[in-house]
Amino acid sequence: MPHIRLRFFGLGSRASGSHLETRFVPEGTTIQELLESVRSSADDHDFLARMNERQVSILLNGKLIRRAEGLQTILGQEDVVTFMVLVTGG
Amino acid sequence: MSFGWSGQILRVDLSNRQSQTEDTEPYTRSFIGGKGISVKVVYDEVGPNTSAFDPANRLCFGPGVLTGTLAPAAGRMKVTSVSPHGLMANSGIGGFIGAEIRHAGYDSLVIQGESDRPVYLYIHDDSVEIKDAAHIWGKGTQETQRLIKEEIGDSVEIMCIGPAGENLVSFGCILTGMGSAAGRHGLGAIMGSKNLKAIAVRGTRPIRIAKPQEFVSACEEAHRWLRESESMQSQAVEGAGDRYTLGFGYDGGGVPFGNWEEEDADWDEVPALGDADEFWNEYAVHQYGCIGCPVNHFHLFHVPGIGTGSTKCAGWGAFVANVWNNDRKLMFHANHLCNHYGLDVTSTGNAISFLMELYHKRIITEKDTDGLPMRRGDERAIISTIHKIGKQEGFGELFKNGVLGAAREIGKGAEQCAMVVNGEVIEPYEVRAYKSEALAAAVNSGNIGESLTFEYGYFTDPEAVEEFAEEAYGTKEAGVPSSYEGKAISIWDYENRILACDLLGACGWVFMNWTGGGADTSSLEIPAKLYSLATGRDTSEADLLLAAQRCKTLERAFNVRRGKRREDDTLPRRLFETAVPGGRYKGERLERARFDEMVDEYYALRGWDSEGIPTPETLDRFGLSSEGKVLQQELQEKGSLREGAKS
Repeated sequence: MPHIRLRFFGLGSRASGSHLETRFVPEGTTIQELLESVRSSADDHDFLARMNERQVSILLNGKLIRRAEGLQTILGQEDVVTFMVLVTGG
Repeated sequence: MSFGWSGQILRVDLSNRQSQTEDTEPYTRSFIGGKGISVKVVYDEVGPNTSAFDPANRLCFGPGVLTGTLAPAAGRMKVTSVSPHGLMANSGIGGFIGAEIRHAGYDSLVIQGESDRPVYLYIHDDSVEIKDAAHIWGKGTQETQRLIKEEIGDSVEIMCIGPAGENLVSFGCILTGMGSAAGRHGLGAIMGSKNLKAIAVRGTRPIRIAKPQEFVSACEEAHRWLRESESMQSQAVEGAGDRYTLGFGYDGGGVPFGNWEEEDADWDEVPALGDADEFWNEYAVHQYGCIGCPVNHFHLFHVPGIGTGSTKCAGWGAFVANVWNNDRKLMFHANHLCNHYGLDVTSTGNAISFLMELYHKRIITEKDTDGLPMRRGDERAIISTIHKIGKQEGFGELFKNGVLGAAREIGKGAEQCAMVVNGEVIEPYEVRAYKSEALAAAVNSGNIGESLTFEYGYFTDPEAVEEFAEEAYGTKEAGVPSSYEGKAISIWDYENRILACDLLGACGWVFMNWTGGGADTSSLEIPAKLYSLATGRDTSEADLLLAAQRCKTLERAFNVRRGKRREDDTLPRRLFETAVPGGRYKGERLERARFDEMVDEYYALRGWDSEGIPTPETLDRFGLSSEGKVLQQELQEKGSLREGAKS
């Protein structure tokens, strides 16, 4: 079972990115399936439980995945998946 | 001349129609550039009794030392003056104009005097022309720019005022391009008081760099660092821009409903915020940004029947929950009109919110608003009011001196509904819940955006935010929005960092604040390195922060000379007497005693006494002894006159 790391970026540039968890995923797990798993395990009050998928960027090993086909990427050993809230200001 | 700086400050006196240049060098050691130079100029040259519309008031435009170079995200410029509400104020503007000024050969523009007729400036390197503007006076901001380009060619960058600034509306703004504006504090009215319609600039000069090869390499590295950062990939590549920002604010409980309505507000009336994608997918035509910025978080929209234009998150947030609206097309329309008239979106939105509250409470009726019912969320009410204020017609004239001025004219207790600090409206954030914002609004005349801190991430990632808060500020509570602890130091820190960016022309949003949730681009080390290589002056992040604090101290000292004291660093009574009526922070209150403690802590960090006056020791520490003597002398001999809103 591949062992992967997940990083969750909230808002607040200097604060975010330190939340890190690791988990094992079944062989052949896609990013889409991981995303669904993350959402389903999030608390009701958790933003992750309610997030609009389009509001979150997903990066694999530091690179932005393309939507649709990117979500079907199969996770490998020690992959790092980052979920980042898409917000900016100005 | 030394490297990095263009070497000259351009001074234009509109009274005698003369221009001259001044060496930038004397300002650079202590004040670096950008806002730093402007604050020093205003401190030295504008007396405590000089009113905002007095020709002797200075209107300063300060692009930073990195603006116009290859440095990424360094296209910003700060505009500084004494505002119509009597205090020194600053507002940022982006686009391309700052870079153009630098390439014309100037580190700063200082405008003084008053033309006897409408004019615009055309600066083309050494050539400075004061040109007749009778034919563009009264025109909207887009038409003004178009007509000027027809006249002098389109290889210019232009900033201008609209009818609002011409009519001295105290929240008239200065705008460039499609929608980047120095929006806050009525600096457009200052420009209007000088009969100055626009400034057009064409610059063809290079900026000399001390260590060019290293600088170019460092810029390439900085660009690559930004582009490859996780947060910037998300922003730039995903093209989100401000698309989801408003929704995030709603979810985070950071958006006030109505005019910070009381507990018994009709909460069920609150409209849910609709999907942004529908609007963006249909109407967004282009994504763009300030010069040299890889983030490009603005969008240009074309909406048939309304027009083509742009706005940022502040604009979206100005016409949403506060005016009981969730229709994004209406938000865009309101912004588009504000841009046309040259009106600050934040103040305009608040003016409408204020009227809606008064109407709801029957303090005013249709008779007071030219037969227009100011019903909550009503499209006609919103759009018509913007026209009235922009044109200064009918009941729009009430707002010439801002919301407080309108409240005083209306009477009947309307002042209790004026949500202002020192005459300036509070930006639409739920300060009863977010205690850091309460502090920021109080000490910065309603401004919050430039002090926004990391705790906005709290509701998505509380553990990470608390972990960071403990590391950075010694307490997890600094990351908890509703806590009072750690807020003074976090606001102090953020203000310093963003101000450091202002000295360089670097974008605080990229290097400090809103980087799409990513921690990976927040640092002043990169701007410090680029500054060092450009100027040949070895400068650290700590050096920049020291200069920023010096600038902040001097700005405060000036406002103390104008009469600002502790009693002015507060918030409207309503915010201490009511609770958040709904949403994530329902029931949350702002306790006055705890708020006062935050102000005490903030003053202590700033080195100000209990009245908010920089102490002699603080002034000495920042090398402001001579400026301090001016302050002390005035305090001892004359005190200071406090100036209210002027027409």
